[in-house]
Amino acid sequence: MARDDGIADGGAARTLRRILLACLCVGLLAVFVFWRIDSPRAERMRMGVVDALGPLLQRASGPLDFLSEATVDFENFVRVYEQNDALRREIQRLRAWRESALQLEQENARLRALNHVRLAPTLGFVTGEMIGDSGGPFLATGLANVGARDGVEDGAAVMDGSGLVGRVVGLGRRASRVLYVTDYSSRIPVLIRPSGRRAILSGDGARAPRLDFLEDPEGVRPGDRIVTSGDGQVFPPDLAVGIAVVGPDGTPRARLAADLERLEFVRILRYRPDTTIDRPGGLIRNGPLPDAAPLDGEAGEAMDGEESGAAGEAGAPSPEASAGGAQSPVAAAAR
Amino acid sequence: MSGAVTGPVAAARRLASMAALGALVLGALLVQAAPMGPLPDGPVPDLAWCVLAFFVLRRPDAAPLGLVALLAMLRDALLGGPMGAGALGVVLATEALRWRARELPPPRSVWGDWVWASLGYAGVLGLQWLLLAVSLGHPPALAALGPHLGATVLAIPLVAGVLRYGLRIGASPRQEEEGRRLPRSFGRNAS
Repeated sequence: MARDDGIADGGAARTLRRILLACLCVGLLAVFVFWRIDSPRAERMRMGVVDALGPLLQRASGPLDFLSEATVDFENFVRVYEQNDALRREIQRLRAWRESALQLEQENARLRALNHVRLAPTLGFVTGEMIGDSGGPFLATGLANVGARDGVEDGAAVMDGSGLVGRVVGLGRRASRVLYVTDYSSRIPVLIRPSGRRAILSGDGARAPRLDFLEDPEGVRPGDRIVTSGDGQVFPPDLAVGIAVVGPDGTPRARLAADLERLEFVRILRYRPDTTIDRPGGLIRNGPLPDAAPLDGEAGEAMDGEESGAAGEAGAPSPEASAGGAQSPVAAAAR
Repeated sequence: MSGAVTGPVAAARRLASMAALGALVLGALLVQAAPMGPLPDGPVPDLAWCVLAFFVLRRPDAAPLGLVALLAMLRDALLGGPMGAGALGVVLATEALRWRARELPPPRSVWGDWVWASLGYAGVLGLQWLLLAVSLGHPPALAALGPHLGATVLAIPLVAGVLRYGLRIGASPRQEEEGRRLPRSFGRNAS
């Protein structure tokens, strides 16, 4: 029997309801454990829901966008004269910079032509609009309206016009979830210029994330530039992060270049790390050297063959292949 | 309350109320998740919880356990919190509110409902924090939960007011009292 307020009243019904509640609790706890153990798969499932609701979310954010834009317009209207003056000064300053940039670009081109520099592969990116924010205190994330169909990959770096925003942690077909650098679980290896010291940028919910594991903090001064170091091969190196500042608690922190509070459009980078050198080349023997290795043609060829074979077994390209078909210098010298 | 009518009409009304709850929670989630852009940065109240708490306290027939669990999972999926932990907290907290609604039938103190809904939300946040800490996750500082809790506590009466007087959902304590004073055949248990 059920009461008019929908609450089961009878003994059996109440017992059944309790069993249902216990099962639900165990199920939800299992979902949480699954999320903790296999976060990427759980995120994919979550992004499936977001994919389905993405268009609705985009439509719902329209009126709120209008509201925020109206607020900004009103602020701009109030400060129009002040802003006009500031913009004039900015234009003058930028004209001077433009000339310098053009000269530097020409000089760069000449130097590259002289040196036959092989540049790192150009970064690709896809631009998307932020359509959602996390509404809770447990996760600092946002939703962008670009996903796997646009070429976004899991773990990709996300930037706004000025600096690093975070990385993709959940990927759907039409949307992706971006974990901001201020989130509690965000850790990014960074480099501080000009001192060249390395640190880990750790989010702790504050607007300026902490700089942990900083080598020799005395060598870092407020105002030093912080960029990504590229360690770990997840982010490309030299992405602007912000500048070093001293936090209210005296710890070194990073004032972010990106404006996380006014994120509207973001660039999600498509980055594939360049060739990595993670093992000795074919010329270097791992084992002890033979006592008297005669450096004649046969020995040289034999050694070369051995190393190639070893590399081949390990699945790495052979020295010949990596050198574009050229013979190893030892073999060449022996001949 | 909708107790005066039984049969297919009551079932249809109940279904309509459940659909209204689903739509309202979804709307609240969309508003909550929408990026506020240049608006001043501040804690965002959990509007979905406010709606759920209102329905469980004032229209428990429209907020069955399964629907609450489903909406709580949707909340976790959209807002990106610890998956499952938020839903578990919401289910347990709404069950506590349901117990209050069962033990103290209307008319009840509105202030009491507010306090219970606020305590329930504190429980939701606390459980998520605890589960994250126990599972060696990265829980936020407890102080960071304060503003969020405060914003939600303040939003509860506002949302309740909008639902009750704007959308005419649920019944005010005075109406409940009037309903009780009516003769039996016209009161809550009339068929």
